[in-house]
Amino acid sequence: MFSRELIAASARPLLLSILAEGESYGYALAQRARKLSQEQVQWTDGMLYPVLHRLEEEELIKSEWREAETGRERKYYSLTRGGRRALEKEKEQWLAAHNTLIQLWNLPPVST
Amino acid sequence: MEPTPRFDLEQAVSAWRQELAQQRGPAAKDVRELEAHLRDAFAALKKFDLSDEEAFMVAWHRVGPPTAVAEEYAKEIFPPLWRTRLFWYAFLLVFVGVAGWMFSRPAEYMADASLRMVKSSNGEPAGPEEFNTRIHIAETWNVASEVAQMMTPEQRMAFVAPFPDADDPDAKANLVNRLLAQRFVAPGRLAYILQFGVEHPDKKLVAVVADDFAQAFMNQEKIRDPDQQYQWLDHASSQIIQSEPKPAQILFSGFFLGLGSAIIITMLTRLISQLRRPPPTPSAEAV
Repeated sequence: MFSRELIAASARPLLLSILAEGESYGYALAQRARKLSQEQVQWTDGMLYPVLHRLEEEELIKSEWREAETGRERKYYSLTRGGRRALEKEKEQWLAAHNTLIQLWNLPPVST
Repeated sequence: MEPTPRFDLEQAVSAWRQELAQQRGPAAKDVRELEAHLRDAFAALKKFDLSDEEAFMVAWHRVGPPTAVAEEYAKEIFPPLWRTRLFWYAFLLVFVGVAGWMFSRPAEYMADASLRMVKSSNGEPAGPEEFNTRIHIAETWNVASEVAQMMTPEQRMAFVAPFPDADDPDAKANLVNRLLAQRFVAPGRLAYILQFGVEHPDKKLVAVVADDFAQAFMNQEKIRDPDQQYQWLDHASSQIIQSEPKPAQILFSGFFLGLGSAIIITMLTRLISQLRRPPPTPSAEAV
């Protein structure tokens, strides 16, 4: 079970990483995150959006309303070039933090 | 027993939407996006053989209670970007302002000027003539004194000129204003004017170098130090002459100055071209 602070902090690299796989929309993003975390990240889907909007403001992602195959409109998000760069940076930082802790826990480090 | 009211999805969504819209935080576009999410969740859950009501309830929970969702929107998870941006914009503005101020400072101007000069050949003054020339005004002492130090008797194409009507403050001001107002770059024809302080009348003299002037010039006007001493550089003897100039003496290439005297003559363009030339390769004898 993640703490609220950790959820908030990890939402950013999480969303960037999911979007690096290709464009997506809110519900699908939430589903993907839920599956990846094996239900350990107990966030409500509504929490995603402020983070998404923030990323969009920073021009790391961009969005577009489009009609989906269901006939309803959806807002699709995709990574910008700046987003890709930001993701690389996030990756470095998270792995560095991870590898720092892991040494104390006698677990094998992750190659960076 | 009363019959259970039939669940109506649209009604439920509408009520939910209204509740959300009443909260502080999400804007109309956010409600629209959340509704799309709710409906996506609902559609996905319906595949699990749930009733509309059950699917809606689960979807509702997934999205989160409207109050909690609204709270997330209202909350500042990060410092708002506009604040960060505002800081940088302000910083940038100040930086640009300072840089702009520094670069826009009129350290040097180019201008057309009309100068009354006496031309000298074989020691016999002729003129005065009116010269329309393009001059370069520098307002710094540093350039002037550096150039004065580098000046050699070979640099003889310089002339000096005082402001016209040196005793008429309006005429002086007008000339200065005119020179300052006309800013343009001289194509090929360069001259230098240096203007100084105002405490001594002769300090309002200007010094000019024109590198396309092949002949020496002399100045008809008086040019003095504040101590009333004249200073001339006699180009025949390369001496600084401190006496009233006589026509025979004033085949000069320019004036020299100590601090406080009125005139500096430069050969700035020649010096610049010398600086630009690559250093001479060491000769075989030197080795």
